[in-house]
Amino acid sequence: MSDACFALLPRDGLSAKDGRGWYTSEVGRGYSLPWPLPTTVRGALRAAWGHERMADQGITLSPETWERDSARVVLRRFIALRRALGEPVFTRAHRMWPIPADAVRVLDEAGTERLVRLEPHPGGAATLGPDEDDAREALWHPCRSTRGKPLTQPLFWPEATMVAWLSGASDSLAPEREAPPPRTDIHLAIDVETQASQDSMLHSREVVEWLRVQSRDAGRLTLEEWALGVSCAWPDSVKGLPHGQLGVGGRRRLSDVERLDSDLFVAPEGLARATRGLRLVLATPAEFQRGWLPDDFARVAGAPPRYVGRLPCIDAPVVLRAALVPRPLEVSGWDMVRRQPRATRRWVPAGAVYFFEKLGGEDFTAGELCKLWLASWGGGHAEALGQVLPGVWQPPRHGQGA
Amino acid sequence: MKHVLVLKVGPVQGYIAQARRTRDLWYGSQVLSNLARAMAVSLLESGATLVFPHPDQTRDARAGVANKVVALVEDAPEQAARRAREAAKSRLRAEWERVFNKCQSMLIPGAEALAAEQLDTFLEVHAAWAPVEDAPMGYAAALAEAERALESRRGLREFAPWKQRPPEGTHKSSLDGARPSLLRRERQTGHLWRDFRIGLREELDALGVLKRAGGQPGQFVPVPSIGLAAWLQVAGTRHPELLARLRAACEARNFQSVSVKQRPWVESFPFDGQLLLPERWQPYFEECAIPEPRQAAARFGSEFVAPLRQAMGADAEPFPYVACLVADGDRMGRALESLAKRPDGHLAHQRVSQALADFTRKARAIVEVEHRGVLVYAGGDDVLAFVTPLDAPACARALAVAFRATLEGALAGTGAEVPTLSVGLGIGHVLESLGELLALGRRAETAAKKAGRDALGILVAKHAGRERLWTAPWGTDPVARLESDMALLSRDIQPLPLGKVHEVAALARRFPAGVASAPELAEVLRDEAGRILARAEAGRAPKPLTPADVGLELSSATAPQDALERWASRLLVADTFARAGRGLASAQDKEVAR
Repeated sequence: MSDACFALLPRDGLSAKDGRGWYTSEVGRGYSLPWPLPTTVRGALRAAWGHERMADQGITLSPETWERDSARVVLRRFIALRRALGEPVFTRAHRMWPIPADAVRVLDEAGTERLVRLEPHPGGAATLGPDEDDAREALWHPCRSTRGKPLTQPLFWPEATMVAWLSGASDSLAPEREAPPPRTDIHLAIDVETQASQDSMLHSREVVEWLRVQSRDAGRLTLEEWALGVSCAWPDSVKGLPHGQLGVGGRRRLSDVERLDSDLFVAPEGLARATRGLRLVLATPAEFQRGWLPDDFARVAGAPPRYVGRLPCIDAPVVLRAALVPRPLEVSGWDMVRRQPRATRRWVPAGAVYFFEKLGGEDFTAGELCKLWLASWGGGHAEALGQVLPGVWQPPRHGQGA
Repeated sequence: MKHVLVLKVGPVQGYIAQARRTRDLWYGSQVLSNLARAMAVSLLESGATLVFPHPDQTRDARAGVANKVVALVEDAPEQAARRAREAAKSRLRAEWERVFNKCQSMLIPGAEALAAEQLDTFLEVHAAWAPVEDAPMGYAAALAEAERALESRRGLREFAPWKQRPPEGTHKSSLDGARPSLLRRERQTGHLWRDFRIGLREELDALGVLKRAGGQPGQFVPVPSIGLAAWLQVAGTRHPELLARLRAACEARNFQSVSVKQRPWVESFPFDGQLLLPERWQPYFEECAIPEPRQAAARFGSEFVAPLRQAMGADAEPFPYVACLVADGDRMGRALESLAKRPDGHLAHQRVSQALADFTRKARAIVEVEHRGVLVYAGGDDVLAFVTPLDAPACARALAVAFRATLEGALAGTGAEVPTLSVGLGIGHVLESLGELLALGRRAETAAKKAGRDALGILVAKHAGRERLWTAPWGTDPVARLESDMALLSRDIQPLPLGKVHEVAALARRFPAGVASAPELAEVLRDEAGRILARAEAGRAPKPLTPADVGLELSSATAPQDALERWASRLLVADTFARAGRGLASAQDKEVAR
């Protein structure tokens, strides 16, 4: 069974609700995630697969059977795509990546917007975190060389910017412009008896808009079209694609399905090369058993103590030198079979960055970087969690050895 | 050896914004302020010299304390930081125990273990310290080093997965959507649920329960009452007997009352202002679990609310919007950096922290006594408040003037640039969630900063309409400008029709971009705007309006498209304030309002 590769193009926005319940007569506002989670998309694919199977075989699946049998629909890759409206196909140049946490946009003293890189270095002033963990305090804390007020970042970078960043480009990259905020849909409830709107039932819902203005130059408007690039195991299908349109997210908004070339998920050319230190950026959220600390890493006593462990696709043990991890992504799903909420899961958000050196001090090879491209790290492989983007990093020579 | 120790407690922005009721917002800010105060007190007990906040602020429980604490520590800075961290944790646990004892009957069995995990994983205390060299710039260098290390350290927000398992199917908190709820599923109509305004379908985790039940039930003025403060005050003066009838009807139904002193508009109607809005009668009655809410609400409305609204007149409808005021000092970092480099750097910083403490005291009086508002938080150079729209611009100006005057005193003779205050006013519907109103206020404040700082930013978000933003530096007296625009829109003789403003806005929007580079197009744009203004409105215009009449400056120095858009935004913002005061501005009412 080969993977099916396709893009989902929502036709009227997409609303993936967060864990807050809402009722029109109370708050009147539904909150959406800024971008759908892989779990939402896998759920939609499992639902679509079940519908197809029922239609093909003329049967009705019970919720339990549906849940059990659709588990074979496995999401292997999950990326964002953007192209100018009217372009016929998606290519690698259209890939969009979560902005890495080691990139900070600042307004410098002169009022100029700059993109600066956070670089880990040993030493510096002593620090204390929320609890006792000497190995964590001994990590290097990446800091920036340029002063200025940090600004909010857009969600994604285009392929070219990301590849340059992973290759170790300097800070002078042009800052990416803001994506427009999500739109708000206003709804009314109509009273069946009076055919008029009901009091107190005016409500709204945030919707991520997938067709956006890319530029407005000299009166000419260019539109961009966003999509979700998916590679998944799609059992029992001759065509390897879901039939027709797919319902995704809140209110099952319809999405077109467009075939993709599997080449869309491979590593960019020129990125893989030998590097002394490794920078790993999360392209999708990661689920680690201990929260922020990657699986297979353990504290090793010493002066200072360190976290040493293993990475996927790399044989040699590595030392965790630094980590830039934003607050956890709290995922509160809904159990469609039992009709009740699932327990909250806490994931490392996409864009988090980890820095490593090999324990033996040798370089990471180009081959290893190539293997790491979109490799799965941590748990949740069926949901395309923990996919990583490898990048080069030149750690300072600090005289400690790795 | 002496060290500079910097501590930060959080999370701040996200935690405060998770709020549905005034009490959530107020108590959330109070909790963080108390935690920072506990850290400051602990440092004093460790023998440290407090720089921020000023020691006076640690003794005044009403004073807000910013989430960053700076101190000089003689020895063992790590131990001092640990003790301060433990003090913050203990304070949070103590707050929870007090609330837990009060609310236990509302919580699920086993809530203690879940709450303990939620509280333990909530608090983010980070610290960094650096030695102070015995040199003229020793303090400045150590402070910069410690702050840089703290910022770097906060790049890693470590967390662990939840270990406690709530009962199967437990819903998530309605405030953050992540932590499991601790409330019992079977809702009762008992006094606790009602006193703390916990809705039938609402869910609260430990932090949510802490926010909701941390204060006293009657101590919070509901946001709709703040938004309608001007209307209520005038209604109380013009029709005291009708307002008293309405008040008695609310008392008879045992609606929750507000007990705050020295707020005339609250005292005359100490109930939720949403009862004045017909579309809210039924949901309110449902929330109070009154039998047959639809009919009961309709009767209540027609017997007690409608007569008062009718008596006030059709031109004085309650305007259900409120201003979320967010203020922040400008160039504070630069001023503090400059002071730190002085030989007596930490003493200069202490003078600034004393001045900021004075300002926060003044801010409370400005908001709550002078401008019919409610102060949520004032600490350091930050202010967060809710004010009735009619008073909001003047309140913002008073804060900016007080801030500058207070800082001027503290910085006199130092040569440091005196910081100013940028104020944002987010105008939103009174029933909008507090988090959304706060977001509006913050966006308005950011716009004021982007407009060059030392400015006012106003962002109006109508319930189902386009947002309107207008910013202006304080130096141009934006409040007087707004008042003059409001007069223009509502004057008896030849008022400016709002339709013309919309038409000009549409003209600017539809004209092709890049007009500035085409002089002939710019001329057409100016002429067309003049034609729209001059066009006679069916028998209402004794003489044609000109751009000068309506405050529209179309000089050749400014691109006409920008000038038109800015003018239209300003007038549409002014229209919001004019609507808020419509029907309330008779000579007598103006007197009352003072």
